[in-house]
Amino acid sequence: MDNEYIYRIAVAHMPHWTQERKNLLVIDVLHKRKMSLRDFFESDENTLKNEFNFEEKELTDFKNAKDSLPNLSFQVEKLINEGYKIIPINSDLYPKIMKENLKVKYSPTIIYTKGDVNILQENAVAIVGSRDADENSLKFTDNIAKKMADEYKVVVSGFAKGVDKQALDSSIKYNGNSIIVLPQGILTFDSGFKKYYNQINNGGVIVLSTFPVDAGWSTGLAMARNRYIYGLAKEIYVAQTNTSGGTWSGAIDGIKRQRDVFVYYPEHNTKSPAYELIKKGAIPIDFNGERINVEISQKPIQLSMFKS
Amino acid sequence: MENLYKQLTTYRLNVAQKENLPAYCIFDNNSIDEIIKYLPTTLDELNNIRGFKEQRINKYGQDIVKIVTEYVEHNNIDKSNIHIPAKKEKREKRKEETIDTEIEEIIVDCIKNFNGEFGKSGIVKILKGSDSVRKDYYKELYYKNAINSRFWGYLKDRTGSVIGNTIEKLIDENKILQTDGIRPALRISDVDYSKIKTKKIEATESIDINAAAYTDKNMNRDYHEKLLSKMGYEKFYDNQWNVIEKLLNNQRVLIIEKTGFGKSLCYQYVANLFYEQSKALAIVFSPLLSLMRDQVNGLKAKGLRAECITGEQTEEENVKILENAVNGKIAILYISPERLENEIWLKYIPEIKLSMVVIDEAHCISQWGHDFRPSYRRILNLVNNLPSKFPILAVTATATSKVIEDIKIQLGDELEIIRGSLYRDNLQLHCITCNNLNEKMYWIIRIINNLKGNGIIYCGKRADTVLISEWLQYNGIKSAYYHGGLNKDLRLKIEQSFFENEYKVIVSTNALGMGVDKKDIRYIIHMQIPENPMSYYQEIGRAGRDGKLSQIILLYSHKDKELSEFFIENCRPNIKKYRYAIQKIKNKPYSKLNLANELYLSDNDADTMLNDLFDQNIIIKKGSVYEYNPNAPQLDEDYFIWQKQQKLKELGKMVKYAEYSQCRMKYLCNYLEDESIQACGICDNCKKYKFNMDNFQKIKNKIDDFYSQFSIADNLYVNGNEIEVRSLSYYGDTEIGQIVHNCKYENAGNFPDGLVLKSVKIIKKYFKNIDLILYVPPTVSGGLVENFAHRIAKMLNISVSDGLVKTRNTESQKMFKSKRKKLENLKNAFFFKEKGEINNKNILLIDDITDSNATIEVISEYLLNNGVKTVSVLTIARTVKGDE
Repeated sequence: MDNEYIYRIAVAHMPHWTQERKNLLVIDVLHKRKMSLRDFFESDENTLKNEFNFEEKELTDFKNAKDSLPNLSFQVEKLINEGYKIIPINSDLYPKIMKENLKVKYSPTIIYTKGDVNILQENAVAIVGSRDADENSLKFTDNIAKKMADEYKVVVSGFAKGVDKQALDSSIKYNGNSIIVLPQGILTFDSGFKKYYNQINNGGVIVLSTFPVDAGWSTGLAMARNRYIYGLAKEIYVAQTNTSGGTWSGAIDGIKRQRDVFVYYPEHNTKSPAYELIKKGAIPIDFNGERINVEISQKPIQLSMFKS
Repeated sequence: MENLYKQLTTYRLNVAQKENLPAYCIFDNNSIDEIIKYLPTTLDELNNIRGFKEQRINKYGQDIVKIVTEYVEHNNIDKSNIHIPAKKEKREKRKEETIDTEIEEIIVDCIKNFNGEFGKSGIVKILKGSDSVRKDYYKELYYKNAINSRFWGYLKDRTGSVIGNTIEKLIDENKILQTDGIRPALRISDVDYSKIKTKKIEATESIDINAAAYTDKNMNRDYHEKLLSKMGYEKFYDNQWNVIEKLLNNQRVLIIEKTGFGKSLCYQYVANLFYEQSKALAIVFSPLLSLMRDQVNGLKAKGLRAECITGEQTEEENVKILENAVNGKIAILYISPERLENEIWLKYIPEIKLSMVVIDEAHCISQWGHDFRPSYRRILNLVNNLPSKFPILAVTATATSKVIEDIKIQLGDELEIIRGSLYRDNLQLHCITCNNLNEKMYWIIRIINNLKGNGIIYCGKRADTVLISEWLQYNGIKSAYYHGGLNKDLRLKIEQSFFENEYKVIVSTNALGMGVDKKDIRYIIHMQIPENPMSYYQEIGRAGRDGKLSQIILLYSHKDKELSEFFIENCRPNIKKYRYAIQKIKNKPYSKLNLANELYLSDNDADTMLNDLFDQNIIIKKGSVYEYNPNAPQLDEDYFIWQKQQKLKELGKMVKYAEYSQCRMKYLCNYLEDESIQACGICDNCKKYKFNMDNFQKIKNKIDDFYSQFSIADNLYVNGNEIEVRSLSYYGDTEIGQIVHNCKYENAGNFPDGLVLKSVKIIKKYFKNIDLILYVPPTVSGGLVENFAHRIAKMLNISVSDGLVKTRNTESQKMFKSKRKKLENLKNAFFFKEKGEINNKNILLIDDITDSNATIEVISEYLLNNGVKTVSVLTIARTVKGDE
């Protein structure tokens, strides 16, 4: 396994391939055919066409990926040397919950981490909310983070402003464990690694990224990253949301997949987005994370989902 | 599974070491693969693992089962789904494989090719092409049939028994014949030969190739030799061609060949060819700046596109080279392993089209190698992650079988090993046993006066290089000393002068040599035994590269062993400091300097510790800062103990060489696992030389004279003023050092008159116009230095003052290891009341022992700030510091 990293990375970052296509290829090669990726990469064009049903464009992608293998070796060496972990989808270290939540269709083919990998296997909750959350929602986030620390649950957040940042800071404050899911490549997070040096080394924080290691921050990656925040969590706590955007669609998707989505519902305002979520099946909770009863009027509204 | 693999290979290595066997004899990689696959946790289950029968199970079974059980439990692995097939089942399966006409055809073709030359096992070995082939068949085959080597490794994916079974089947069917004799040979049966359809194996077919440019032509030696002529060479040696052929095949190759084999030509040629074919670039990792420079200049002179990236060039120059590399304008790029840390390099490397990786001085990869380097661990990580069909060449001139086995584990089973004889017929080895340093100094003069040409004297300690160099100069022999403590410019200058034969002798620590490609070094003398025979072989290997007779002399005394043992025993800081350091680095990143300061470590100790922690994967290095690895393993303290034991063992083997009574070359070659050679016939033992100490007394008198005027200079700079510091001798293993020690610590009374006389001589020789003598006030009490200074002053008729005093108690300077701490300890501790007494004076300051010059520095600074014109310093002894 150890020296298959370059092949894993090459497949994981095939340009324009869907996540599902990449994952299916890995499953096909490793599980169905019991081949190594190393051997697979030695396949000739005919085999790829006839046995793996590669299309012309895919053949070109494959050839490019193959040409880049020696260069990837240098990248892998750097990652290993600097204490990063490269975790392919079929590794024991890969968070099981991610596969359960996102399935073959959306699970990242590879993840990169820095920090104590054991955190990935703990019960985790996502605390999500908007970047410009109000004081009250931030206080709520702090309460939930404390509760999670007391219950030995891991807090997953996305290192954005507002609720994300509060969730992380509070988790650290209460000596809880957290996962930071980056909206960028893991090699571009130097300032964060400096800031959380102590927590990363002493087992409080693990940083995780699914993107090519040197990819810079972008809105696209930030949106894509949201899915993995939800993917890593067993439960979702919504601190504050609008009726659109990443927080909203993630929460809706969670409800649809029958996961526990808790939403902070302080104002009992039937016009609020929180109320809409409750109508869709989210569980209303108060400032301290305790469930509350809410009367719901039955009038469904159409909501946007992940585009697939 | 990497973890288990590592555990098993580590276990195997340890056992191999204990039993003094190659690791694969303990159990081979096939066994390891099966263990990892089937995870046997009982002896019964282990019995079904390939390679494990009663004997191995009895010997190693318990241990292996324990390792696996722990692994299974630790990782919570559910074993219920794993079915371990019985050996019989596997055999059945293999039998099925045997029905394979392709194998038959290949076997017949192969036997036809080597008709009558080899028996069953020979043919199996040829077709499997594994490395165990080497000893019996390899050389023979290669010299005879370099081009026919297309069979090598052809059936590697089949087991030996499948091939063997098929051969037996063919014999049974009368398709091939087995002749009688001590070594039964296989021939094609006359009768049935025609009936067998032999498959014509083209070279291109037998090789799973990657490069599109690879054609029949590529296997044609004539074709390549024509190309070679462009590089200014006529032809390849067979062994060189052998290497080249494999690289063209995208294989991983390790060459162990002595100097002069032309290892560089192999990769330079291939790199150039790859470049011509696809504008791709070969990376050569080399630890030696000077060697890189030479090679690049040489290649450029031939019109080839070679460059190197070094810290000596400016960043702009390096960037320019990397840009050219990205643009496909460079064929060979030399870099030092440390370069892997460099961010600029990492920025460009993803864009560069790569053709091959070459690792020079590959023994540095192995922890068994005598100079294993942490930066080489990074090369290993790199190589482990390179694609399998990517040519890699590892090159070394010295490797024991342990090193080879280790390199093989690291570079993978597919590694092809090409190994030549290490016998050097132009080196005449001698060892002269001496009782003390004086005798060694006697021999040096005798030897050098009798030798023509230029040579190197290797010393174990930096201090000795100075002493011996001065001694040679005292005898009118032109020499210079060289060690890692000298600044870079000076070292370069000395190297250059040595090249141009400006000095007859360079007296050096082992810092000189690795990269020195001087062909006509006529002699190498060692003042002490090196730590092991491998280092020795490498160091003496620098002599006589031109093939002409060269003299190798080891001056050995029994005390050497103790000195080396001392170095081995004390090569690391206390283990508690390791644990403390880990805790510290866990909480914040450290530079070497900061860590050394906080843990009271000397520079050398800090280096050692950080290298160890890096090596054990506990810390990572980012630029000049060390960080904790969040998934770090526990510190392996046993490894240090183990390594120390290994080193002591190796030292024992070096001592054995010195005390050996038979052929010395044979001893060295055998140590390096080259069993093939006969006695050299020219070493002192073969020739039965006796070394008589003729005229010893005459030279001894000269040595005494030499010592009476010898002093060591080590100048200081304080506030822009140069302070000349002279010491009569080194402390430690010297006559004067011993006297000082006895007077100071063993109550032997005042320093004797001899020292006063010598001091006066030195002062008269080196220090002019002294107005006033001061001495360093004692830390605790005692008037030794005061008494000494007064006696000197009296003889010189110069006034002396007791006015320099301490304002407060200080800790003994010996408590502190770093100079920074020593300076802090003494800050503002000295005072001179009557400033008028010293104003505008030339002062001579006297002390007994100096170590880091910290005391001298603090006092000089104080004096200069208080009106003193100049300061000169005399100390009786100087400690030996910073030795490698």
